[in-house]
Amino acid sequence: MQRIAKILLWILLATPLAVLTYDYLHEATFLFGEVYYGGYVHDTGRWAAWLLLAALVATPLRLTFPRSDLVGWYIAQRRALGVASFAYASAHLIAYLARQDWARIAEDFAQAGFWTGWIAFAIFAAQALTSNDFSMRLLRRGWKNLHRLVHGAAILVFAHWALTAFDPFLACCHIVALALLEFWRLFLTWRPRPA
Amino acid sequence: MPMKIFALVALLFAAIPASAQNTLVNANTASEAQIAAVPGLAPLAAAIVAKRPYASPLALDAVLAEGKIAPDQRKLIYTRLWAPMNLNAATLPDIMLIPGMSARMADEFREYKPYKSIGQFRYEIGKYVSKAEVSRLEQYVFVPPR
Repeated sequence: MQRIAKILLWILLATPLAVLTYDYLHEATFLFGEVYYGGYVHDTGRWAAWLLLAALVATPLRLTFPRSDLVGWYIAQRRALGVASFAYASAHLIAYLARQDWARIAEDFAQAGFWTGWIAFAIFAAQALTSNDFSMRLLRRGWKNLHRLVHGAAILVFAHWALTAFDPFLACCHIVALALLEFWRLFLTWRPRPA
Repeated sequence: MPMKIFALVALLFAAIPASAQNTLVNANTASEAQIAAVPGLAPLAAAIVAKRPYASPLALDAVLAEGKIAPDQRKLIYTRLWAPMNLNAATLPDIMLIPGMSARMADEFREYKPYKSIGQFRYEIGKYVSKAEVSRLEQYVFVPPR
């Protein structure tokens, strides 16, 4: 039953990306209507950010409801959410690289709105590559340190969004959500506990 | 009395066909008389016609600059007269000549090159501004058939 639930979750996470990519590459209008370059880059970027937030909310939830079975189930899906976020971010980056020439990419890289995205992607790539039991055993303590970088990478992701957006309002709303989430996590982690 | 004035203004607008209220005259195809009807262009209409065709808005801008029309006045003229630009060949200075253009929007125009159709332009730019604004901007550009 758990295995079926896991497969269903992967299908659920992969479907929007698969359909978006199909519509974009084949100029089709299945499910998402017309999808041109800008829309594809925006949508994959947004999905990546939302899935990242969904993965980040797991720790504060566990700290708030340590005995909840539902939260326990959600915690178990954190890896899937993180890997899916990386897959959407990869599609976002690949579409950009395939579309722009190297001169434009180099010109963009000098801007804060772009290098923030590149650094965040490099961190997520390292985390996605080590998101397996073998890497956990191999890296031991280093694995935890590497995966703690997700909080810094999340800040870079939303900075990238806000700095490259035509209207940064939506990105700023997400920055507020991330700030509240991190504050909640740090408060629950460092609060004095009864002896 | 205010009601009478309002009715008079409404009548005046109703008398003008909708298509003529926001029409941008194409510098490459308009007659000399149409160009001369644009405020401030009567003395230059013949020169504008003589130097056609205009491959880009910058080429038209150069003719108006030669005619001693100040940059601020040229911006105003471009709300009435324009040389439509090929979106896939437009340079940043071309795009910046569009009245009301911001550097950020100009960057968005360039970001999505090459455009496959005017529908793609509507889709991409429509993510940022209202439909009315997309329609206004659309008057200034074209996408050559594939």
